[in-house]
Order: sequence, then C-alpha cells, then structure tokens
Amino acid sequence: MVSPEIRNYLEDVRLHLRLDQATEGQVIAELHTYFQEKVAELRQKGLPESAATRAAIDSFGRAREVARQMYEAYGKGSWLDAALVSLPHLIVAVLFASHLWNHLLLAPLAFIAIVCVTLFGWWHSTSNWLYSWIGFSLFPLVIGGFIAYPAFQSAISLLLEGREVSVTQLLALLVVSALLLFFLWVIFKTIIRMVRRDWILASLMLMSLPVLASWLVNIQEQGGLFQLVRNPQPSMHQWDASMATALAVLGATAATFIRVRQRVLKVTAVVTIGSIVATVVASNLLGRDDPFYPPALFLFMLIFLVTPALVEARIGHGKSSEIDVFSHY
Amino acid sequence: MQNSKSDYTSELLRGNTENLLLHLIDEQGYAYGYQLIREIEKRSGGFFRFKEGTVYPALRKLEHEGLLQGEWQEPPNGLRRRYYRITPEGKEVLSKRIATWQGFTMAVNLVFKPAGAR
Repeated sequence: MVSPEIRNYLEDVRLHLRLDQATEGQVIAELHTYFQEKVAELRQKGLPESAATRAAIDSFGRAREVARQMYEAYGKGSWLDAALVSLPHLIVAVLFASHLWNHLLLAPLAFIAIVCVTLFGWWHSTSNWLYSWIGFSLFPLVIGGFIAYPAFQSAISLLLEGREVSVTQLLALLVVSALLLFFLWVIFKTIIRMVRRDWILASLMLMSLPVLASWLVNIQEQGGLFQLVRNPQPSMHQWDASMATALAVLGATAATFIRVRQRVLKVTAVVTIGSIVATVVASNLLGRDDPFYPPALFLFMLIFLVTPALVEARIGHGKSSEIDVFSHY
Repeated sequence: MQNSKSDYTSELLRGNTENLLLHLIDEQGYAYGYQLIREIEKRSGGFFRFKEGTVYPALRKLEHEGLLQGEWQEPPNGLRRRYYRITPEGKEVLSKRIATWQGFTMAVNLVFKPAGAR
C-alpha cells in the first residue's frame, strides 16, 4: 500500500523523467520498493507512519533533482545512436550535393527507405535516434500539402465565384481536402505523441522541416516541383550546395544532441543551432532585402522550435493512469 | 566551516559513488539499491551521508553503460526488487578505476607528507 505522500512524490519524479514509458515504469517501481523498505525500517525503529514517510522522502532528496539525475543517467546515447540520428540528414544532404533531388527514382527511393526505417524504429526501438527519421518521414506529407494546396485553392475560388463545377472537379476537391486534412492530422498527432514524452524530442523531429520547407517555397516560386522534375532548369540547382551544408550541420547537431548528457546542452543545441541554420537558409532562399527580415525570421524559427515546450505545458507529460506502476511491479 | 567540510565530502562522494557501487556489487555478486545504501553507510561508519536518491540514478547509469546488469527478482514472501550484477566490462572498468584511485591517493599522500618526512 502506497501512502498518498509517496505516491505524489513518485508522480512528481515521473512527471520530470522524460524517458520512454517502459523505462519510466521500471524506474518508478524501483523507487517505490525503496520507499516500502525505508518506511518499514523507520517504523521498526518506532516512528509513526506519517513521520516515517516524511523522513523517507527527506532522505531521498528533491523529486526534481532525482528525476534530473535519472534523465542524465539515460541521456547519453552511443556513437551508433549518434550516427543513426544524423543519417537521414546525410542521406538528403547527399541528394542535394549530387544534384539528384529531382531524380525520378533515387529521390523517392531515399524517402521510401527513410519511411521504412522510421516504421521499423517506431515498433522496435525506444531510442532517441528515431526522432530525426520521423521528421524526415513527414517531409513527403509536407510536399503533398504544397502540391495539393493550389488545387484546393482554385477549386474553392471556383465555388465561391458561383461558377459551374463539374462532378469530377467536385470529387477532386473532396479528395484533395481529405488529403490535406489527413496530412495535417498525421503531423499533428505525431507532434502531440512526441510532446507527451519530451518536447525537445518533438523539436529535434521538427528541426529540419523549416529548412526543407524554405527550399520547397523557393522551388514552388520557380515553377513548382513537378514542373522542374519534368523540365529541369539549370537555376534549380543553385541552392543545392547550401542545402547540403545546412543539412550536414543539422545532422551534426542531432548527433551532438544524442552524445551530450545534460538536458540544457541538448535544448541549446537543437533550439539555437536549429534556428540559426533555418534562418540562414530561409534568408538566402527567400531573399528579402529588408534588414529586419533575418532577425524576424530567427525569432520565428526560435518560436517554432520552442512551441512543443508550450504544447507540453498545456497538455502535460502523459497521464499517471497510463503508467500504473504500483499494480505492475 | 562545517558546511564547506560537508560540501567537500559530498563532492568527493559524488565523484566516487559509481566506483563504490561497482565494487560492492562485484564483491557481493548481486545486490539491490537499498541494500547498497545501507552497506555504504555501515562500512563508512556513517561518514558518507548523502541523499539516498542519488544511488538509483548512478545504478541506472552504470546499467545503461553496460557495466551492470539489472534484473527484477521476487523472493518468496519478499518484496519485488531490482538486483544488479556486474558485467565482464564492468569488472574491467572497476579494476582500472581502482588502480587509478590507488595511484591518485598515493600521490596525494606523498604531497601531503611534511617536507622533512619524505
């Protein structure tokens, strides 16, 4: 039987652990055993239940400090994890460096491989390397959204103007709307799921998307992705070297995230370097002469990468009922 | 003055908690968290006073690094506990750390000796 004070204390530890659910359950179960033994021992020495509980909690230390130390115990990944987390960045960087991003076979194959590894990792691994792969797996959905949006926009304006719309156009509108909603739903659900574990993993996952989205906007302005694939233009490769460099830097940042133990360093790496790289790329690609544009862009990127923290503050870190360690261990 | 003494002891202990745990587990074959806390207190004659919550992250860190292996066990009529045993890699790391520690303390003692006694 767990006293309410100990249950609250363990819940406080759990809320700040930010580990995968299975490990959290194991950790809390082990700490629970400690409290059972400690309280029993203190009671044998003659302390009443409430005093023994208080003394046990005092001797254990502050819940947040224990959670911080526990987070750091698991914080440092192996070199293999570091290589794996940077691999999707490097795959896409190579596509840009070799000017093969418009290759009809290689580019889709690269993204299919990334999605396959993501799905494999989703079911078989709890390691943090998976999160950058999830981020790149979302990119085809972002492309889908970019491609579907103009069709959606023109169909809506036809309807608003009261012009006659054929059944085929109406069906196309429904399909495109459903696809857009589906893309948004998948992205939203993935972000929420990541945030429930740890907002910084959601930021790691999203880190490359502003860079890729800026490039995509630039490509759309040059005539659109499909158009450029069908009729390649020499100018479409002018940003390839910058994109390859930016993705390589983000890959190195993701590897640093895995190798450092302290949370503050992880947050600094992802949020600061992620924002700087995205700002540099977006400033160059979307070229605006306004001197306030880069600082404004940096602020936007910073807010974008910190948004998962705000979402976490709103929705919390899972529910205690999801991990009922006291009945399982 | 008292505070700076206890801060120094805590700092020394923090730097050596993992080694103490590795050594005790190696010596006992396998052990669980609370058993190790009591053993450290008993053997140090109460000299090492620390927040007991620091032992569990240290055990988990050693396990994550592959130096210990943890396993849940439930003895008949007992509490379900997580027992740790040292891995071959842990033994290797421990012997290296003990050698380093012995070299370090010997060097410190040599420096601390009065000049005339050397």
